[in-house]
Amino acid sequence: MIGLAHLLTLSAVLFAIAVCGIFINRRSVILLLMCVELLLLAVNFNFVAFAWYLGDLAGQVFVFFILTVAAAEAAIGLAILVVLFRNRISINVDEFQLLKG
Amino acid sequence: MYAELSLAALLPAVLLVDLAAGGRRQTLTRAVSLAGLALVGWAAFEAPDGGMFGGSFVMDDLARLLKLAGVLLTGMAFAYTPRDLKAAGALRGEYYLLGMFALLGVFVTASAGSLLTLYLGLELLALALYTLVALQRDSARAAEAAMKYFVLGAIGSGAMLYGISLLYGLSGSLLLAEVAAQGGVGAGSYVAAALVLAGVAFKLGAVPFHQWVPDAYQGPPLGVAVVLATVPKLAYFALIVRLMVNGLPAAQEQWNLLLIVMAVASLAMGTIVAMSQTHAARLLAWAAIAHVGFLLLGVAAGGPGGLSAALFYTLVYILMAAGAFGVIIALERQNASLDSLRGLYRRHPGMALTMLLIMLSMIGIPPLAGFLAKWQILMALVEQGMIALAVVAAVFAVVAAYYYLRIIRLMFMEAPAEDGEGRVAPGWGAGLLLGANGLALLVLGIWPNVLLELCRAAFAG
Repeated sequence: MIGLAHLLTLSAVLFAIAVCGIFINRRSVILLLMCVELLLLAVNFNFVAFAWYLGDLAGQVFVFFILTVAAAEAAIGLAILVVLFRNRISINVDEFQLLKG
Repeated sequence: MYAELSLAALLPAVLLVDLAAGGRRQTLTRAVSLAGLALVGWAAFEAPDGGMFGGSFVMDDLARLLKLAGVLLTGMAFAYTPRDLKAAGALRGEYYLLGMFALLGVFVTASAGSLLTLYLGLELLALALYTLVALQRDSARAAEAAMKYFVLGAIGSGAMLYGISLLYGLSGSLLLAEVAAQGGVGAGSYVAAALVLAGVAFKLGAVPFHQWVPDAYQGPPLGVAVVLATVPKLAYFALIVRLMVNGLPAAQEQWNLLLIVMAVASLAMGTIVAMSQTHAARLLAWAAIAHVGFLLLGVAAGGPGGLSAALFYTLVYILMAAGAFGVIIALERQNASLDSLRGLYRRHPGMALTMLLIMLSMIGIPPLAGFLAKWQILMALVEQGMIALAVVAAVFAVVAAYYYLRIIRLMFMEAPAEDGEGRVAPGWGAGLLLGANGLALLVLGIWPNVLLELCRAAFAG
């Protein structure tokens, strides 16, 4: 039987993968955006698990809001990425060096 | 609620006006925006106290004060910036639109009564700010700053959201009042509090989550940085009060410890790193980190006294930050190094005197408002018996005087650089407003009672 603890562990693992992905990744900005999405999905998993456990709909409603915001966030992230690529012809994280000090 | 609705209605109206004007007549867009903001401010002032949507949206003294300050600061930012943005080739109607979207985010956050409204308000604010930073599309600097801000901001939101989901699981409700009532003491709520606090620190730019602040201030045009430095702080203050102080009272002892560590680290790091800065916006960014440390100390002192001191500090700080950016914008340099302030007194005495008032207020020299703001926080700390913290804060406040005095010396003691770039013309409107901004700091320092009473009333209930 799968209980709340299993679900929460899975979501914690997803969250950890996302955070590690953001901080370890030194290559492409696209990967960063994917990790940000994973981060939000881990949170969604948490909400759904709690909503199921508590028998409360509010958690599931929250998930819809997060999905919507995540879509808007992804759109803005990709737009910034396009601007970045146009100006630098590269989306390499290592080359973020214009602003220092 | 009418304030939010009228602001939400204003946004498409401004978009249409901008479209109809063909994107050329920015003065028209600006005028409509400013007139609309005045109406919104009036609506926020008149809004009656009470809750709506089952308590998800609350209107109280705190929300009203934050909203009015938001309207005022957004209007000031709009008045200071057109020349700077035009020079950067980034003066488009979207600037006003995004600035007001950010303001709407501030409104929703300030009135948040549930975890959902809080999250939505913060995201509305954050998404508008990411886009604002990237507004100058042909600049690699702005794009890089926007990307850094976006990724780190998203991590901050994610961490906070994870904490929020744990709070929901522990209390079984999204309403902050019920979260506070049922929030127990235990490992779960401590983890939730730590995650939420990390998110708050990301947003505010407190050490160790401050890396994005200097880049986000320096990368975009100054006209964007002035919005970034002022208006959002109001929402983040509301976030701390609503989510941490009111929503997590049971775990206060634990998160207060983390808060104090972050506050002292921010004070120390902000003050020390700011000394070696040569770029004006970057210096103001590191100084902002130090100011955030001061503000967080007020929250850590807690109670009505500490919180109202922190609120007063926030309001005075954003007024000072807006003025400082306003003066630097008036210098009309694309990449404002501190050297562009050299000999400002000979080039434009009015601007130099305004900047002098702002810098003295930032140091905390009586009788300016900055002194009173710092004094209130120190008194709140002493009242709570946190005398060591008060001493540390006072020491860093004195150390910080070094870089503010350096600016004053550059303006008054040194001759202007002889490269023929001496002209400073802020325009009469922005110039008058800047002067009023500087004088307001003096007036608030001498007659602070009205604002102080408003700040106290916000936490009296």
